[in-house]
Amino acid sequence: MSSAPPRPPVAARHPLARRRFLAVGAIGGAALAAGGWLAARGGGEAHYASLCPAARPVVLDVKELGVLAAFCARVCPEPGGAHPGPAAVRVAERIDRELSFHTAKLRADVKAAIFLLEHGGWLHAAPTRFTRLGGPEQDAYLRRMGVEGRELERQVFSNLRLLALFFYYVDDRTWGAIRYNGPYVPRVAPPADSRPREGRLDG
Amino acid sequence: MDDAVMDRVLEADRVLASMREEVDVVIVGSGCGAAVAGLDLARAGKSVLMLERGGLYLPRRRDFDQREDDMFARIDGGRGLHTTENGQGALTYGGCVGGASVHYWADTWRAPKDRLDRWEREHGVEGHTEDHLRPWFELVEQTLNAHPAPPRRRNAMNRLFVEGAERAGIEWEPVVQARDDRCIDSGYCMQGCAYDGKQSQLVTHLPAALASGARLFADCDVERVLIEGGRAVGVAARFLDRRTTRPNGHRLEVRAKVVIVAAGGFATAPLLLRSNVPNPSGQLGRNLQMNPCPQLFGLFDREVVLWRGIPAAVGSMKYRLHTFDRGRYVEGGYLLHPNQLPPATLAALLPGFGAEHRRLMEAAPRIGSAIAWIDDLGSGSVRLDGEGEPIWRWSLGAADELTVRDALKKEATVLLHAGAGEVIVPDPAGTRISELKELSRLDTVDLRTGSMTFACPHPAGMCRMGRDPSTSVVDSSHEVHAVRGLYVCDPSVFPTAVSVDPSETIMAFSHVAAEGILRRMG
Ligand SMILES: Cc1cc2nc3c(=O)[nH]c(=O)nc-3n(C[C@H](O)[C@H](O)[C@H](O)COP(=O)(O)OP(=O)(O)OC[C@H]3O[C@@H](n4cnc5c(N)ncnc54)[C@H](O)[C@@H]3O)c2cc1C
Repeated sequence: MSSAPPRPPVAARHPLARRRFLAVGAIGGAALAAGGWLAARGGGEAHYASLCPAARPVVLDVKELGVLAAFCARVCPEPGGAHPGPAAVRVAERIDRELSFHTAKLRADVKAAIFLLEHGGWLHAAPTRFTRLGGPEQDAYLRRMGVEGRELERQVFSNLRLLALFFYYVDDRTWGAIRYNGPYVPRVAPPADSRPREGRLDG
Repeated sequence: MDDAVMDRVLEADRVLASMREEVDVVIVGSGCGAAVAGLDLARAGKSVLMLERGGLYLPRRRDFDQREDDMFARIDGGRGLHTTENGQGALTYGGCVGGASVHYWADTWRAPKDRLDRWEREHGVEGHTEDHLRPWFELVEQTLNAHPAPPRRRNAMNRLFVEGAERAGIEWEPVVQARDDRCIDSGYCMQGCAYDGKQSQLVTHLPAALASGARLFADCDVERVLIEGGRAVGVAARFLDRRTTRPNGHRLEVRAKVVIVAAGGFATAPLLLRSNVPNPSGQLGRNLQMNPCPQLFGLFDREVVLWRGIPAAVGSMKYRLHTFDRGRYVEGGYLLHPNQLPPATLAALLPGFGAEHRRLMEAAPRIGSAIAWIDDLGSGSVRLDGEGEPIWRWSLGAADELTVRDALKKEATVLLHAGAGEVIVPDPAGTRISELKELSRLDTVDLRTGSMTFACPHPAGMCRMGRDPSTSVVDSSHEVHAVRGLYVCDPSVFPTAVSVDPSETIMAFSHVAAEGILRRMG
């Protein structure tokens, strides 16, 4: 036995870059493009606006925010018991606001991820958009994406899932449900630096 | 930082026009590497100006509000959202006055002798052996009030770790902590200490440097090192509006005899690349190692409350070194620790979604966790995109994958021996393990990109030190081989990761660098 490292490791697997969210191969790309074209043709502003009512997104557009809100609704706890649910906490809008502090590249990545989430069914010859599926079908769609999906799909699912859950549970209205008694120090108002993320959007 | 030194700090809201400065030494950054160098140089009578991109946050201004979202936004370099290009590594690093020490755990380790010897032997690093560093380590430990936390201050997860390790026959030891008696074991170390108990740079080297005459500009983003005739002559910077993090329209040019870049292990190499620092070895921006951290969760029948107390008052060094048998990996290559996670971060890391995830979170106070820092064998790199923004490339290589799987097994062993009814793997399938005989399932758990994310808090290597300019970026005096008067004082100069938490080694290296710079400046 020795602690000397062996030869350098086999070259790391080449990851599909996050930047290249849409570079999913010719077939996938064409499928997604077709999905996007149909989606654009189908309009659907009202449909998407209804998924996140009265929201005024700053980085995402109404459609992207609507898709994100639909995603959060499946990923975060439904309202009930001690849980306010993601709509009350306005998780999608919190994420939108956070993006305003980030680079154009990161924003573009998230927008591309949301597009793939909505239209990714085309990659599996299932053209129905994510937001048009019923709740159980949406869960199955997300499970396929996150567990069995291609690398790109898994990346999209895991990154959006992380954002949704983080921004749900940072809200103090959710803490009772998990028996977190919260910080020891009060939040200062007004904060020293105009608090970057705003605690709540509505209060 | 008290009022006596505050008049030596300039924040962007007081900057009303573009400015020019002339100093002996300009330092980019204000973390462990920068603050120590700044202190030594200011004490020796040099005029020192430190430039920090992030804001100044202080307990007495009640900035440390212990909320995860607010504090990630204020003190983390990427507001908690920066990742490697493939999303597999979550980059956690400094982004405020005091740098990453403001959100570190305060575990304080000397670089092990075997690692320093290896850097000397394989990279020709001079003047940084254990013997050279010993007095500096001692000084840093004294300054940081470094000492093991007494047993009574171990939180529930620490106690479970000890129980589990002992039952599993894994030796453990107390981990030296940089804390003083203002620490109240709140558990908010990662969000920045509201009590000045954690001995970050905000309460140690930075105020001492300012008291010795150094100045600090916060909200000041250095865009380029200025190089003329093969010599660094200063930096060009812009001030940022703290509320929006966007430029406020005012610029700064600093002319200096010496430029020290201490922007941290993720940010220094991109700054040098952006400054067109000659790179004859091709090593600038390569060799990125960052101690990826795999973690597992355990569901206990009693309260653990992962977010309270000192994070890692104990740990195990037993597996620090890799062991190989005739070139074949056997085990080890990591430090093993109890984990600490605040609730929303815990939520983001636990597997699953919807009702299943909700059930887990409703049991959150009973969830414990163990974590390992992997001593990477593979490495990554950084390049700049069209806007000059860094893109970090890294993925878990084959050799490190074996190490990760072994670390996961040891974490599960400790958690199960500590009484966890179930070990929860943060993989997409949400694998659960409830008996030791199931450990082999960790050999096939999905670690692929998009399936498991690794926190990466300890970057190193992208400006590696060495004797040979054709294989390294800086020499043993920390000066860039290709540019006179340009020094690097942060873990970018480490030829590899340190194999333990790096902050004490960063500080000791900075003392060595400052000593050499003073000798050269005369
Ligand atoms: C959550 C967490 C826990 C950790 N726990 C431990 C621990 O317990 N023990 C330990 O030893 N280590 C720990 N570490 C690591 C340790 O904190 C860091 O290695 C160390 O603090 C880094 O010091 P540094 O001076 O190299 O860089 P940093 O502290 O990152 O400082 C660099 C500074 O430069 C600034 N900067 C960057 N680019 C520019 C620019 N262009 N212009 C102006 N300023 C710029 C940054 O904003 C930053 O503040 C932890 C890290 C994290 C994130």
